[in-house]
Formats: sequence, structure tokens, C-alpha cells
Amino acid sequence: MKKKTKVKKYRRIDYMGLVYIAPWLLGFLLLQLYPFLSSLFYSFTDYQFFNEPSFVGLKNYIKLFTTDPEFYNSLKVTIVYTLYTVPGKLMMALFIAVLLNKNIKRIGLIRTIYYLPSLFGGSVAVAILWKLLFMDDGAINNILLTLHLPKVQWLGNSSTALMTICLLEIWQFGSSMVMFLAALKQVPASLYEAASLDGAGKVKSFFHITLPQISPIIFFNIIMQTITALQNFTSSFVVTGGGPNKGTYVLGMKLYTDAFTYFKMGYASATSWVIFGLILVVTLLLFRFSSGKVYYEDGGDF
Amino acid sequence: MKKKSVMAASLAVMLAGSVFMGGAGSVAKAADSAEDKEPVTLRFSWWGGDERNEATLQVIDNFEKEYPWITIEPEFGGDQGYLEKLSTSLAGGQAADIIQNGPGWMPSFMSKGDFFIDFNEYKDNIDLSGFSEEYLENTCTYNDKLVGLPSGIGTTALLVNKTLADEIGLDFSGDVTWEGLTEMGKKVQEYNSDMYLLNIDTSFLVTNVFRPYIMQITGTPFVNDETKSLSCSEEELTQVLSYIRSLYDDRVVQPAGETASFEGAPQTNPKWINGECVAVMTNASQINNLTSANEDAEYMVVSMPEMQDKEAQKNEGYYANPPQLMCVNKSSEHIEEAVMFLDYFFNNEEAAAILKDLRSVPPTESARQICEEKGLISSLVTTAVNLGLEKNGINEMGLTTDSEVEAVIKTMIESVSFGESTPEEACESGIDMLENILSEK
Repeated sequence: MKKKTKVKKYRRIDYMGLVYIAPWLLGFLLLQLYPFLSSLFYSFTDYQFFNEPSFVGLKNYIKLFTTDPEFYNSLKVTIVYTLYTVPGKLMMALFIAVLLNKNIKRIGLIRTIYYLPSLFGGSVAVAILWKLLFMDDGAINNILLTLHLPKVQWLGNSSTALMTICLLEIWQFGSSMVMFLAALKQVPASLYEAASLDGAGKVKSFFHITLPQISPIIFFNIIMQTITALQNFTSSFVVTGGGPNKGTYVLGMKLYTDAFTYFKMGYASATSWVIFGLILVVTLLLFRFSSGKVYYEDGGDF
Repeated sequence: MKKKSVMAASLAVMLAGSVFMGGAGSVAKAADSAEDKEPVTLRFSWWGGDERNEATLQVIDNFEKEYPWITIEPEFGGDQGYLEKLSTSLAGGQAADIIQNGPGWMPSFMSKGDFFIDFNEYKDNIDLSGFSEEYLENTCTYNDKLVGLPSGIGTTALLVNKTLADEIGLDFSGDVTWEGLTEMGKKVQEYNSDMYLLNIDTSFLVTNVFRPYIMQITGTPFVNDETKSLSCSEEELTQVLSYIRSLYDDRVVQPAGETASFEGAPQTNPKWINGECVAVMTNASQINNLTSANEDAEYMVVSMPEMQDKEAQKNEGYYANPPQLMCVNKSSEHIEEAVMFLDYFFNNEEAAAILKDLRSVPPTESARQICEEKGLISSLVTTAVNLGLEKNGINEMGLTTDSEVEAVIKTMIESVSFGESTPEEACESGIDMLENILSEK
């Protein structure tokens, strides 16, 4: 027989909780839910900034997929950008995290320095700095020249410009690195000890102990970084303006131009919902792909 | 009556300013009238370089001293993103009271709503007699409403680094032609393969080569606003794109990859600063920026290029157009004061001397006279404007300057300049896109 536990009965609804989370709730309702729903509504209208939106059904979506040649170009650029930045950033972050996972003097300071670029993340100032560094007569080319290496047109042709922008994103690896660092500290030392007794070298223990042990964090980072990459806007807007020859015209940039330069709000809203769908599908695929490959200590129940 | 009193007041202030005790006199007078006025705050937004910004702030400062009950909050920055900010704020009802506007954006704003006041209704507050009526009619009037005032008289011209041209042995004394540019470009390359004839990027190719070239061969702007269709044939469009392609093939212009990083700002091109480019096609309002980028060289201004075969040319392709328009927001709470400020901005002598030619040659007769007397306008700018005024091109503000149409023209130019498609292919896909866009206008 189970003993009945006595539950305290509330006479009235306790509103205090709501009051406590009111600031967040307000922000969520006004700055997230409202724009979210209104953009869904606008995506089915011909809203053009200055007119009253009128319903046009799926016209915007149909146009996006059938008659807009720029959409496929932007989609391609965005996917290439994601394929470069996500693995690049994660490898960089993991590599640095492994290097920094040591108990040496002033390690805190070194970690802070490596984290710094991420504090500027997504800011316009850094993008401008990047532009100046990689300009034709910028610092990077000057360094190459002093080393008697040929100059590179970093921002001058479509493929290198995209790479340059990817580098900017990869350089901001700090937040992933901090998470990796925390995960690395969680790996039980006993596993390494056992492995070394069995004769496993450093490389072997990294691939057979470290990677499986931190796989949940790797997975988490992949998802978060993929979402960020698919939404990229700032770097291509500031560094290259989407050019040259639309080589860095990512979906975020197309969305912005359609909305604020061409006034086609309804159309841009439709684009944003397509990006949302894309992110959703990619995330679900990643989850699907990850099952069985990610190790959860608690059995993986959410 | 009111107009008279405003005139009288400003005359009185000017007189007071010119006598020895002037300073004290004008302040005392302004304070008198300020007492019974409600304080008014206006916002004024514009874009510009440092020199223009400083001069504009100075004029605002002087205006506030003269009209102490009016405060003007300046909102200024570069031109990047200005249109986006302006259109968002107009749509949200948050736009500034006094707005510097782009003449190319005007047709699109006018077709979308009624945002700016008609200056004809405020003639009591502003003296428009200094402006040329014809110029106002041609450049700032939409549906019989005077919705903006021209900030200056702008024309395009070819600014030549004379020092370098003489060194290479280029002759700019005759008429410059498109074909002639190619020949000169080859000469420059022979002289030094690191040097180029023209300092131009893909966005300036749109305004300074593509559009005038089209107008010269067709006699009309690129897009016909009435029929919402292209006014040129596929062959004609291919011809222009082929010419642009040849500029790159013959290395008359710097490779597009190199110019991409300072697009829209030819004065920051290191080749121009180091004196390695001979000439630049520019609006008169930018001449000072370009010459101050490299002060070691001597400069001259010549007419923009035309067709060699004058018979085949239907129109000279260039026309005078204000570099900016000054507008007053219709939903402003203090329209009269905003108009008074513009009256001061355009008609006050001191303001004219401060603003000089920073928005090209001043639009009013009196400001031009003051600047000329005091030698404030560089002779290069005056020459550029005079040369431009002789041209008989048609004002093409409309669908031709629509930002979506402009973007397609730029895409066509970029795809030929980066060698990704032939002029024929670029033309075909460009026409497709343009027809799509125009069908929705």
C-alpha cells in the first residue's frame, strides 16, 4: 500500500510567478511571437511597406521557387557557407579546446584571449575590420608580399570572397570552444588511465574516449552552429555587400534586400519562412542521423 | 504679408550682422521674438562625407542662433543603408522632419504614397525665386506638386589626372568618344601595365556608361515608364554589354575583382590615390572628394564620352539632375518651421558661403553669386556643370532608376565583367528578370 501524500491545495491562482517572469513574457510576446505570427500572415499577402496587405495565397512561395533565379543562387551560397563554416568552426574550437585543456600557468588568461573574438560576434565593427584586413591593399596582402608570396584577391572574386566570409565566422569559435572545454573536463580521468594501461596512445584515446564522451556537446554545437550559419547576414552585408557577382548573396541578404530596398515585405516574409522550414528540416535530419551515434550518460531521455 | 515680414526680418538680421554692433543686435532681436514662441524641435537627416557634415552642422548652428526657439537635431551618416532607413522610417511614421532624399528614389516613393509636402503651398515661408523654374519643373515636380528642392546642380563629367595624362601623352583636347576611350586605355596599358585609364567600378558603370550609352543609341531612357517595358532591343542591349566587356578585355578599366572592395567610393581606390588611374567619370558633387584624395596631381575636366558616329547618336545621353533633393515630411508637426529652415539653408548668404559646392554647384542664383565672388567653388566643378548643362539628355528618373531594375543592370554588368557569361547570355537572362520585375510594377 502506498502512503498518500498530502498535497497542499491552492485556494486561488498564485499570480506571483507570472509577475516574476513578466519581463521575459512581455519580450517574448512583443518581440518574438508577434513578429513570428505577423510574418507568417504577411507571407501570404502582397504587403509592400506602404500599402494595406491583401491576401494573395501561395503566390509569393510559388514565385520564390519557380520564377526567382536569385533564390537558387542564394540557397546554393547559403548551403556552401554552412558546409564550410560549421565543420571548420567546430574543428577549430575542439582543437583549441584540447590545447587549452591543460593545467599550465595563466591558463585562464590564455583561455580568455581565445574567447575574445566571440565577444565581438556578429558585430559590424569586426566585419569592417575584416574588410580592411582582406582588402586588396589590406594587411593580409601586405604580409603576403613581405613574405614574397603572391597577392590574393580575397574579396574580389566570388569564391574567395565567400571563403573570406567563412573565415570570419570560423574565427569566432569561442563559444563552442568554451563548451568543448567544459565537456573535456567532464571526461573521467580513469578512462584515460585504463586506456594507457592497455597501451593506447594519445591519438587513439582521443578518438576512442574523448570524442564519444563529448559527443552530446559536439551534436549540440553542430545544431546551434548550423542554425546560425543558415541565418547569416551581417558578414556578407558589411564585408562584401552580397557581391562580387552575387557570390556571397546569402539568403539572409536576399531577404533584407527584398524587404528594405525593394519594399517587398510579403515576399521577404515568405523567404524567411522558407529559411525557417529549411532550418527545421536540417535540424530534424541531424537528429535522425545522430541517433545511436551520440552517447548520453542518462540514456538520452529529454 | 507674411512673406514680406519674413523677408524683412531676415533682411534686418543680415543688416544687423553687417554693422559693427551686429552680433548683439541680432541676438537681442531674436530673443524678443523668441519669447512668445513655443519651442520647436525638428529632425534633419542627410548623408554625406566629413566636409559636408561639418558644413551642414555649422549652418544648423547658425540657424539656431538666429531662431533660438527652434532646435534642429541632426541625423547624418554615410550613404550606405540610407534608403533602407528612410523607407522604414517613412512607413513607420518616424521619419525626420527635413529629409535629404535621392532623386532616383523619388518616383518609387511618389508611387507608394503621399509623404512629402508641396513647397508651392508654403511660399509664405520660403523664397523660391532664386531657383530656376524650369529646373524645379524638370527635376522636383511630380503630379504638379513641388515635393523637393534641388540641393544643387549635378552633372556628370570626366575628371582627368592631367599630370598623368600628359606624362603618358594622352590628348583630351577633342571630343571624347567611347571608341576613343578604348584607344586611350590601350595606350595607358602600353605605358605601364599597372595603370588604367578609368577608375570605375561595376555600380558606376550602371550610371555612367550603361544608361548614357543606351540613351545615346535609343534616344530614350532604358525603361519606358508608360508602357513599363524596355525601350531598347535585345541587339542594342547586347551592344552595350559587349562594349562594357571590351573595356575589361582591353584593360581600359581596372579588373572588377580589384574594384569590388571599394565599390561606390572611387576616391578610395588606391590606384587613384597613387596617381595610377588617368580619369574618372563622376558627378560634379564628388569632384572635390576625388581631387583631395591625391593632391599632388593637376586636374582638368572634360565632357563625358559620346558616340564617334554623331549621326547614329539620337541623344547626348547626359542631363543635369540634382545630386539630392531636400524634402519636408508631410506628417511633421512643424512643417512651417521646417520650411523656414530650408529657406535659411538655401537663401541665407552666410549659409551659402558655408555650404559652398559640397552638394555640387548651389541651385539658387544668389548662392552661386556669393560662392563665385568669394571663390568658393572650384573651377573644376563649375566647368563640369557648364559642360553638363550643354547636353540634351532626357531625365530618366523613374523605373529606369528603380532599385530593382538597377540591381538587374548591375547583375548583367557583373556577369560580363567577371567573364562568367557572354554579353548575349547576360542580355537574355537580364531581359527575363527585367520583364518579371516590370510586370509587377
